[in-house]
Amino acid sequence: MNLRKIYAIAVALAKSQLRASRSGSSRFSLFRRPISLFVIDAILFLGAAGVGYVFVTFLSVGSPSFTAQATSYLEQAMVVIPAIIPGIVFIAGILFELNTSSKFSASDTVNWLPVEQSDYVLGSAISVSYDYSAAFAAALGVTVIPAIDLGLGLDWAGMAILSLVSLFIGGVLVEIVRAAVNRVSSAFSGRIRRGAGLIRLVVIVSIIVVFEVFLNPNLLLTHIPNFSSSLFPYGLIPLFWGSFAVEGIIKGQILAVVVFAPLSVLFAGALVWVAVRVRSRYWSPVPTAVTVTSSEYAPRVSFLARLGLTQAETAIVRKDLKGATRRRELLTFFSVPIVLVVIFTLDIVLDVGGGTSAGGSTFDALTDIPILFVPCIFGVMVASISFGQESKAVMVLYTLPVSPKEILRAKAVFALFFALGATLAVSIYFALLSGMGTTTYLEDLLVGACVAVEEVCIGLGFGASHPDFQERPRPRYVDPFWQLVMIIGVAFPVLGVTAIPVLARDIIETIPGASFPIGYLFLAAPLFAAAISIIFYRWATRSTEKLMAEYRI
Amino acid sequence: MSTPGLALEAKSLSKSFGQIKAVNNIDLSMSGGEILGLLGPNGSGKTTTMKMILGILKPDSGTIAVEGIEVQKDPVGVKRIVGYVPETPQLYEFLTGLEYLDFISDMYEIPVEERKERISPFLDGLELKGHENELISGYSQGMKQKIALTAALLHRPRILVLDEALNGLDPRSAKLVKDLCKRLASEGTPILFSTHVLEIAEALCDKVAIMYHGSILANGTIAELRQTAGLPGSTLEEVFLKITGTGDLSEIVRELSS
Repeated sequence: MNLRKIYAIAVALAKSQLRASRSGSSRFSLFRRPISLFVIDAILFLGAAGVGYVFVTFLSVGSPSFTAQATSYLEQAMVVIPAIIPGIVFIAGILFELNTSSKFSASDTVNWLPVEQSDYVLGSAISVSYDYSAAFAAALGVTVIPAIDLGLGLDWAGMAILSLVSLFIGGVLVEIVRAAVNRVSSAFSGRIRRGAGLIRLVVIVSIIVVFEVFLNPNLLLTHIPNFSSSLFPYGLIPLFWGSFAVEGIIKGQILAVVVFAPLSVLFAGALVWVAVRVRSRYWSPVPTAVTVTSSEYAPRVSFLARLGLTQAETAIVRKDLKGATRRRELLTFFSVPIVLVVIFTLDIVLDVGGGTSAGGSTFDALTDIPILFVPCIFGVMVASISFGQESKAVMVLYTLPVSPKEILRAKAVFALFFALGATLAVSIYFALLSGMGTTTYLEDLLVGACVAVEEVCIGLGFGASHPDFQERPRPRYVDPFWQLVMIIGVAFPVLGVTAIPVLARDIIETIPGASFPIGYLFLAAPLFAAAISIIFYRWATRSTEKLMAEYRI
Repeated sequence: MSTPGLALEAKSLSKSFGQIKAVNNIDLSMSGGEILGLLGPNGSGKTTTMKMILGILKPDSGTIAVEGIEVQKDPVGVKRIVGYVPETPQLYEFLTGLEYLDFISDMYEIPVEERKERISPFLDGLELKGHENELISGYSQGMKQKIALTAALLHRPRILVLDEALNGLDPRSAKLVKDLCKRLASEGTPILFSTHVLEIAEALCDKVAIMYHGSILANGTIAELRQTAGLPGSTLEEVFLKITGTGDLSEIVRELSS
């Protein structure tokens, strides 16, 4: 192990990440240097500490019982922090690091440099931890002043150290998955032909789903407050060892501290060992020759042509569908509905956030939300990335005899295929799970489909007007600022308005004897969706014409 | 209004990128069956000119007509009849070579029943047979170039625009492409060909246009260029260096070797 090399690798990878993520700043801008992350963390820490200070001022005028309650909440928060930090780092890492193309991630270079695998793994894990340390800084900041004020200053210091270990654990977990997924990407070279793509898709999505679900902060936050009462089974989960140590510090349980604090550090060390093994064994330094099929070439007219698409539109849709199942960097997007379904299912099954009401309408609402939420998120996302995912190869489209309108129609069909497919699958699943009536199901399906169509049109508008074709070190597909505007500013409000009839029905049906007029839902949602869709599709048409008028990439 | 009989006619073509004048008021024309070599150092405006001819870039001023079709008015129409190989082909790497060619066939509306017989000779000739079902991501640079060349020729274009098309090709494939170009030209297909390799230009091109800093410094047959440079009997390299004013490199060589 060479500390100087580890540091050099960590700095190089942090720079690579920063310089790909920020555009428009000058070469010497602060925001192009790793120190900028420290500055951002410091600002977050201080800002959160300000919030904590305000909280303390309330404490000073509160009653003793209020102070006791506040102390209890603070202790719980301090216990929870080390457990949720790895999950946050991991999810951010999965979303942003797994998309990174290996040829641009500065990760291949080490294959021909005199660097030990362990040096690279440590450097990379430190870099990932550092890149996604914002939540860590904010969590420490918001608790520091209340902890000092309530006489928990030393406990806070212990929690901070154990949270730092957790932050590193999150980084190492990302490293492991990155190497494992790469293994999946290259493992089939020359060995398995037919079905290799499908197997790869299933394996990668499974890895993402398992990790995202079990490191989901929402679930962890729900269950961790219960674990102090039972060491079993929570004590067997290494991710909770840091939290057990913090609880030991707070409660003065020396044995718990002596056992769980070193165990937490040992767990981090064990993960590093695993990460080094996985990378040493499976990392593929060169692109591998993957044979997709061995069957004889038999060109044929696609079934899509029967839907009225032109030959060019059909070709683009088929090409994009193949990309969706073969491109590692896109798989995180296509795993989103599965992750959402699993999380919503766990929420329902584990009864997170409340129980079912006597009339069963709360349960209806719980199932209605994913039926509407999945098409919203998935529709807008798949449509918005449909232009940017062309990456540099968009040049091909510029050179071919295809009109902007044909390109847009092909992108719309591609996005609708996934959004409507997901809507149908999710609605059937949750209808079966909840034992929903046929009428309610059809209403939900209709509104879900309306949401899917309008969100696809919104996504196409933003995707065509603000695409990002850059690939290095990871593709983003849509300008990040406009992506934020799209999701928060447009997609969610539109979902909210479209969902009002459904939620109104759920509320009204909680009143004994009250029933909701069925026809209203069938009329309101399609009309609203049609209006929204037309507006955004027209915008997408103009944006595509402008985009394809000249190659400016 | 284009001149009848000309396959390509570009008049007073200019293009700037910010402060940089990439192409500065150039005129170009080609007749059927002619191979025109576009020579020039890096950044001289060759690629920009070719992209404007194809309608990928909009000229700031000037007009271009390809087979009588005005590029600015009907870029899709021009793309339909042009075969283009970019300097660095950006292909869909998640497709196999064959899938990519099938995609290209769809875009040019090549009848399904004709595709196999059109694609097979290219796969055989360019030694891609056996690799056609592999993902392009695993291809070498030369193999990608071969796929891009095949894609440009599949629809039997009426004009070819080849930007450094021999880059990365092995000697056999390079020879094959050069011979193919000559054959296509002899059958009447005009070819606009850019290269840094002057020997290739000398061996292949009927006419040569030398570009430098966005302008065409000389345009004509190689014999005419020798006359212009006042270097009869010299090589194209000597003519090129004389015309572009980059001839005396001895001082730089001395400095680099010291």
